Amino acid sequence: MNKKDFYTGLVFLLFTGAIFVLILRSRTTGEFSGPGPFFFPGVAALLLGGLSLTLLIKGARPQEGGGAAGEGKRMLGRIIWIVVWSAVYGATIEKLGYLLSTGLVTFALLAYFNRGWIFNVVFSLVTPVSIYILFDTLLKAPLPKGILGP
Amino acid sequence: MALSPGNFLHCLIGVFIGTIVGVLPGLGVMNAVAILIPMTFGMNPTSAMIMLAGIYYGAMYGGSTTAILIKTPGEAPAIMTTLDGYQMALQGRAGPALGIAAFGSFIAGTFATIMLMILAKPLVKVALSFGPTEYFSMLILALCTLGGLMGESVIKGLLMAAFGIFLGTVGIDPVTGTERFTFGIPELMDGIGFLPVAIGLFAIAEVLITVEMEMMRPVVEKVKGLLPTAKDWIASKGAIARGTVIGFLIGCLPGGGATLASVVSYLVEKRVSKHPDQFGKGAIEGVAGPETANNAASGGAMVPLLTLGIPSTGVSAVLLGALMLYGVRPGPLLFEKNPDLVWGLIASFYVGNFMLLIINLPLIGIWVQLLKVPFKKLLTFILVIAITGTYATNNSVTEVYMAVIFGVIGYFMKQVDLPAAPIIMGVILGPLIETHFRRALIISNGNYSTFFTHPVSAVFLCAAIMAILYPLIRWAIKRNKR
Repeated sequence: MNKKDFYTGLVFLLFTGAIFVLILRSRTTGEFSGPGPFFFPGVAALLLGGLSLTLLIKGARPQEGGGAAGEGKRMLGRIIWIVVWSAVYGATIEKLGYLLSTGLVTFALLAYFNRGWIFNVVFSLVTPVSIYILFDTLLKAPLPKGILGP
Repeated sequence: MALSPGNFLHCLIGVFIGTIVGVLPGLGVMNAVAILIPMTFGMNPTSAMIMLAGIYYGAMYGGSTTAILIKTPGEAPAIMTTLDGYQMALQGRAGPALGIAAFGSFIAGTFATIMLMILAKPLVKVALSFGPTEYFSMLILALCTLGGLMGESVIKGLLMAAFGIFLGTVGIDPVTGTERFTFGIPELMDGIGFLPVAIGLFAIAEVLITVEMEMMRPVVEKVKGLLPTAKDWIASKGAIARGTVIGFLIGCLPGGGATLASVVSYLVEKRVSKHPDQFGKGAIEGVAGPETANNAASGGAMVPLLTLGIPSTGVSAVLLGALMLYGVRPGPLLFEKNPDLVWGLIASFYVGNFMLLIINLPLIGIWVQLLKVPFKKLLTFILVIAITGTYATNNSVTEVYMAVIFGVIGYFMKQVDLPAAPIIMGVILGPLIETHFRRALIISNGNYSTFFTHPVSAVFLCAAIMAILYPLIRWAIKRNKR
């Protein structure tokens, strides 16, 4: 059995089920000859369902030979650190402002991966300022000032 | 127009950034194009496209540098270059390898540009006769071939394409104004933008994936004598000529792409060579052919994109998304409504290819130094730029969260070998497919046979069915042989 394919198929099959529940609640698929707003999403969901079922069945079949050797230990700590700080970035970019939030997140990410504190501090100061100038001044894409501005 | 100072500068910036992206393993060209799109919103569409296209073929050039110097392809199309390029570097011939890659790429890029100019008008003329029925079928064919050929499994590719199509339906239905899957979230009423999805799946996911790997490889530092010798040119001339044609033809086909072009070119060169045993041991044809082919394919991909509005590769799908964000619809009418953009872009290909030839060779020393920067230091910068670009597009925190969510999804997708590019294809092409589908049914008064009674549409749909069935038939034949 190919666990990756099996569970991938299962996840998408469940997802498709959820989509169909939502579509049936809407009751606006229209008619076959005059498709309504939920007709096309329904077709997409049917395709998703069919393909995910195929993948699930394929994954459930016994495999020839041994399965693939287990992969190395995942560095989940790094992944979680990056994802959490990316979310923090989104949460603080308007409240604190671009410069402060970017400096904070840059320092947090560098502190995990790099032990050179001087480099980390300098980079955390230079990066937000340079990107701010690039976007706000040169590209005319305003960035939030947050607590540092009006 | 391409030679105006402003566009010249944009072209230079694009090819320079593209080369850096190509040089640095862990940064993909799709990542770079997706991340840099928000930076182009303040520019006029012509300048923006010149810069983005520069990034595209600049990355093809740059990918060969790492393939030759550290046996790590900076871009997937450079995989075949690692086989002989790195061997040449170990023999002290990194210079000629890099040189022939650069010159071959220049010749291929120039040929592809000339062919684009020749083919554009006839193709546009044909496409202008297409109606919604033909466009619907053509887009289905593009999705089936691309979705089916990307990644290792047809089923997985098509599954991701279907997922992308579904994501493209989120928002307000353009015909009836009904909300679809918005869950009362105002930001979702505009739909799931392709940019947060692209940045999430390519940039953020790539950071998450690459940060797990320790990328320490010995770098070949001494690079001498960048110009190939006369003997190198004689050995490579056939490979360059064949690679150019092979690459261009494959690049034009949906599902083709630079990677397939480079693989086919390598296999052809090995087949026709008088010394096939030299391949894998430093045969210069093993560098010249694939490098020429991948650059020709990049140019070839522009043919269906600009003339028909059909992306033939993942990167051209992202470029299509960018054009639509600028309010420009690629396709046959582009040549009538935006001739400045089209011909300016085509002219920039010449200029860009020439710039790449000049930039790449003298700056080899800089690229070698760049390769020594640990990825852990770069990832912060990539992440910050990616999230800033996502936010700056619509000043939307929701889109930042979307990008992060898709980044996590993209990370898990990689663990289970699901390709990301078909999702982007689905997100961009899905709404177009739906629009043409509904228009075609309105015109035919709800008669579905219209898709088969129009001959061109019927051909496209049959080809789409074949594109899906062919890998299955091959698999069944292989199974029977066992």
